[in-house]
Amino acid sequence: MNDTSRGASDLGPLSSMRWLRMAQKELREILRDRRTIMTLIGMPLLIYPLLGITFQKLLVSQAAQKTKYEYRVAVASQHDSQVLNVLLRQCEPEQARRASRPPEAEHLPLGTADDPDFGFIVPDDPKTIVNVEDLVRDRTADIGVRLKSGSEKGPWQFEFSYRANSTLSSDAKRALEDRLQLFNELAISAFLQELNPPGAIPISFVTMPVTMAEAAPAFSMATLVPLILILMTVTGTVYPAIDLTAGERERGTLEALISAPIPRHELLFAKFLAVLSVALLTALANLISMVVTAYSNGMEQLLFGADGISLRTLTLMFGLLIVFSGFFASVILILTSFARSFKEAQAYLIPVMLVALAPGVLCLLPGIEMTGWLSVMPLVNIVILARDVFDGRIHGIWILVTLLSTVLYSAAALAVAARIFGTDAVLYGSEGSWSDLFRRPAKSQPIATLSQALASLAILFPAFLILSGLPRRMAGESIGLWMAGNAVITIVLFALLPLSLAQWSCVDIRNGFRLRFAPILCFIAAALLGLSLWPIVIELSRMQAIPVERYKELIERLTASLAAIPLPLTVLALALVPAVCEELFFRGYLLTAFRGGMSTPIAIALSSCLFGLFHVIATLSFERFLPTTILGVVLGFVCYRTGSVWPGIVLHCLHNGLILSMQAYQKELISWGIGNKPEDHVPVAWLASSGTVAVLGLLLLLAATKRTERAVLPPQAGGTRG
Amino acid sequence: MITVDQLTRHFQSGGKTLVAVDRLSFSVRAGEVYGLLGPNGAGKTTTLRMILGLLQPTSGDAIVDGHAVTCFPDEVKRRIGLVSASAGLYQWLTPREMLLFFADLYSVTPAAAEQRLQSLTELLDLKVFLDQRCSTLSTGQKQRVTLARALMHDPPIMLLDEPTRGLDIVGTHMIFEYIGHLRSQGKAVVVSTHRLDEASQICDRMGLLHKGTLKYEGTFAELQQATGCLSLFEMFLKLLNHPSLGAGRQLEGVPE
Repeated sequence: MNDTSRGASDLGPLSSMRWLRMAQKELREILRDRRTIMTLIGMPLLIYPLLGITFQKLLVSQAAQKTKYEYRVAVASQHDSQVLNVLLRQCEPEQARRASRPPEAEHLPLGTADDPDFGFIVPDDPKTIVNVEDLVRDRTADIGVRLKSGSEKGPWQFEFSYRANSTLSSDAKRALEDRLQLFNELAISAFLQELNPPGAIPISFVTMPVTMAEAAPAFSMATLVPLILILMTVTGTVYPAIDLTAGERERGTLEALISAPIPRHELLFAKFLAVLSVALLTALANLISMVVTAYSNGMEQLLFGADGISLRTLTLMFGLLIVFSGFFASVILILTSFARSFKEAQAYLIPVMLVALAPGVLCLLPGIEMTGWLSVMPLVNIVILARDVFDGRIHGIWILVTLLSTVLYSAAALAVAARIFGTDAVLYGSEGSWSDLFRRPAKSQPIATLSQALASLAILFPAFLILSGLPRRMAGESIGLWMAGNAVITIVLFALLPLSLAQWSCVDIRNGFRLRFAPILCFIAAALLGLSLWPIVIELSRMQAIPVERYKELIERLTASLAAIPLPLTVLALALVPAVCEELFFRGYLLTAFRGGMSTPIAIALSSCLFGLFHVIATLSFERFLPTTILGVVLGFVCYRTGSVWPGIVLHCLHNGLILSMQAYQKELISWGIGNKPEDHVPVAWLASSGTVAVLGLLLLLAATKRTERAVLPPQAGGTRG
Repeated sequence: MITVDQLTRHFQSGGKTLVAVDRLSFSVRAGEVYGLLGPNGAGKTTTLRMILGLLQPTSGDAIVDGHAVTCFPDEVKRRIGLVSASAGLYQWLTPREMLLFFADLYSVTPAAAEQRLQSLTELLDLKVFLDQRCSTLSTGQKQRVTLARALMHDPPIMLLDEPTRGLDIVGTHMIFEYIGHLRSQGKAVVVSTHRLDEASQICDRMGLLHKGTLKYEGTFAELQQATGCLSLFEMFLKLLNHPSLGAGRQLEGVPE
C-alpha cells in the first residue's frame, strides 16, 4: 500500500490541498440535497417578492388613505344642495386658515382627515326629492343630508342620516358637522363684534406647522434589511451544519470517516468550509433577490436609504455576511458536532436562533451606537455594523475591531468544535458531556496546540480592547498613573494570562514559550538589530502621509508629560515591560503554537499581523500597522532562528528604549545638530548607516544560529503529534 | 500483524464503572482469519474500536503492524480497513465518488485509486450501479459498496464487525467469499460475530469472549477438545450457564 500512498504531511490542513477536496465533496453532497436547494434558492425567491408585495400593499393603502378623505354626501334635493353649498362655501376661508393652507390659494380642501373633501350626490331633476336614507343604507353615500326647515336667511335645520355601525359613515357625519359648526362660530363672532363687548374672547390662537428640511422617518426600513439578511443567512447555515455532523452520525458514515487517518480538525474544517459556502450562497441569493425585488418595485430608497442601492453598500454588506456566516457556521458546528442525532441538533439550535435574534432587535432600537464594548460583543457588533453600512456612517476602526474579533471568535469556536467532533463520546455515546470541553488534558504537551492558541486569542482580544481603555479613564490627567496602569494590564494580559492558560492545559512552559537560552552571539545580533531598526520603522510611519498637524498638539502634550517622568521609569513601563510580555505572548506562545499547525513563514506572517493589529487597536491609528507588523516579522524571525524568546526581548526592549530616549533628549540632540523633529524625515545618511548595521546584525544572527535546533517540538515528542 | 496486549476499557455510567473489556490479549497473523465470538455485550465491538484507535483504551495497548495504537493512531488507521454492519453510505453521492473520496482520505494517489476502483468493481461486481446515487441502491448493493470502501486503500489488516448482520443468504455468502478473498490476499482479518454457525466455517482461529474476558481461544478442534463440546453453540451455553466460567465483572448497559 505504501507505494500508492502520498506522504502524509505533519503540517496540518494548510499544507495539503486535501481539505479543499474534502470540502468539495461535502458541498457536492449538500447541494444535491433538495432540502438545501429549497432554503438556498426557493426561500429567497419566494420571500422577497412576497415581502415586496406586502410592503407595496402597505404603501398603496397608506397613500390611498391620504387622498381618500373625500366623503360622499347624498342630498335630498337640488334645493337642499344649493343651501348646503352656500353655507359650506362661506366656511371655506376659515377652514383653509385652520388647515394651514395659504390664504391666497383656491379653497381646495387638502383631503386630509382634518381637511376632508365632500362630493355631493344630487338628484338630476330639480323637482325630485330622494330618500337619502336608502342611499346611505346601500352605501352609495357615506352620509345623507335633508334640509328639514329654514328660510333663505336661516336658521336652518338639517337632518343627517348615517350608518351608525360604520366608521367611515360616522367620520363623514362628524366632518360635516364640524364644517357647518364653523359657520355657527363665524356667526357668533360676527354677532359678538356687533355687540362690541368690553372684553376680548379669552383665548385665540394661530397654528404654525413647521416643516423639516430633512424628514427623518420614525422607523427606517433600512434598519430591518440587515436583520432580514442575517436571519436568512442563518437559515441557510442550519441545515447543512446539522446534516454534515449529526446527520452523518445518524446515517452511519461518521465511523468510517473517523477511521481514516485524518486529523479530526481537518475533517471539521472541510465541513466548515462547506457550511460556509452554502451560507454564502444563501446570502448571495438573498441579496440578489432582495435587490431585484426592491428595484422592480421601486422601493430602493425605502429599503436601502436615501442613496438607493449602491455597489459599495452591497459589497460591504456581502463582506459582513461572509464574516457573519463564518462565525455562525462555527458556532453552530459546535452544537451539531455534539448532537448525536438530527433531532438533538435541532433542539440545541432553537435557543441559539432565538439568541441570535436578540442583537438584531437590539440594533433596531434608536440611539444604539457602536462603542468599544459593543464592537467586541459577538453578533451584536456585526448587526450594528451592518446597520451602519446601510446608514452610510461606518468608521474604519470599528470595522477592524468587529472583523478581527469575529474572526477570532470563529476560529476559537471551530477549535472547540474540532475537539468535540467525532470523539468517542459523540460517536458511541459513552461518557461525553459538556464538561469534557473544559477538562484538562491528561498528558502534558510540549507546545500549545493551534486550537488552544486560537482560544486564548479569542479571550485575550476582547479583554485587551475593554481593559486598554481603563487606565486612561482611571488615571485622568496623570500620565504616571496611566503608564503604570498600562504596564499592569500588559503584564496581566500578555504574560500572566497565556502562562496560566498554558499551565492549565499542561503545556511545557519552557518549551511552549521558548524560554531556553540562546548563544551569546544571538544576543549581540539581536542588540544590533534593536539599535538599528528605529530609523526604518520611523520612515515607514512617515511614508503613510499622516496629517501631522492633527496629532501635533497631542504629541507635544504627551512629550511634555512624559518629560516630567524620569526616563528610567518611562523605559521600564514603555520598553521593558512591553518587550518582555509581548515577546512572551506573540513570539514565545503564539508563534510556537502556530508553527505546530502551519508552515513557519505563514506562522511568522500571521503572528506579526496580529502583533500589528493589537498595536493599531491600542493606539487607534492605522499608521501603526505596517511598521509594527514589519518589526513583528523581524522579531518572529529572530525567535525562529534562535529558538528562544530572550534575544527578541533584548531587540524589542532596545528598540522601544532607544525611541523613548531620543524623545526625552530631543532638545539636546537638536542642539547638537543630530536630532530631528517628529515630522521631519530621517536623514539619508542615518538610514544608510542603520541599514548597514541591521544587515550586519542579520548576518551575525544567521551565522550564530547555523546549528540551532529549530523544530517546534523536542525530538522525543516528534512522533506523537498527529 | 496484530497483537492485542492486556487491552482494557471501562465506561462510566451513572457514577458506576462498567468494565467492557478486561485485560484482553490475543494475536493475529497475516493471512489468518480470527473470529471474536461472544453474545451481545461481550465486548467484541469495543475491542475492535480500540484496535482501530476510535476508542481510547483505559489500559493496555494494541500493536498493529509494529505501531502502538495509543501512540500512533494515524499509522494504525492507515493500515486497517473497517467493515461494520452499521456503516452507512453518502446517499447523495455515487459509489464511484464515495470510493474515490475515501481513497483520497487514505492518501491514495488518483491514478492508484482509479486502478483500485477498477479491480474492486470486478471483484464485487459494482459496475452496474457505480454511477447511481447511493440512495437508490438495494441493501445488497449497498453492502458491496461498503466492502469495497474498506479495501480502497488496500490495507494489510481488516476488521469486520458483525459483517453478516441483517443480510440474507446471498449477502452472507458474499461476505464468506469476501473473507476468503482477504485470506488469499494474505491479510490479517478479525471478524466479530455472534453467529456461531458462520464462525466455524470462516475462522481459522477464534476467541470466545464473555463479559469482556477471553474464555477460550484456539482452532475449532482445539476448542472442542478444551470444552468437551462438539459445537460452538454448546460451548456458549456452557459459558453462559456456568457463572464460574463467566466470572467477568458487571457489564450491563455497555453501548455496542
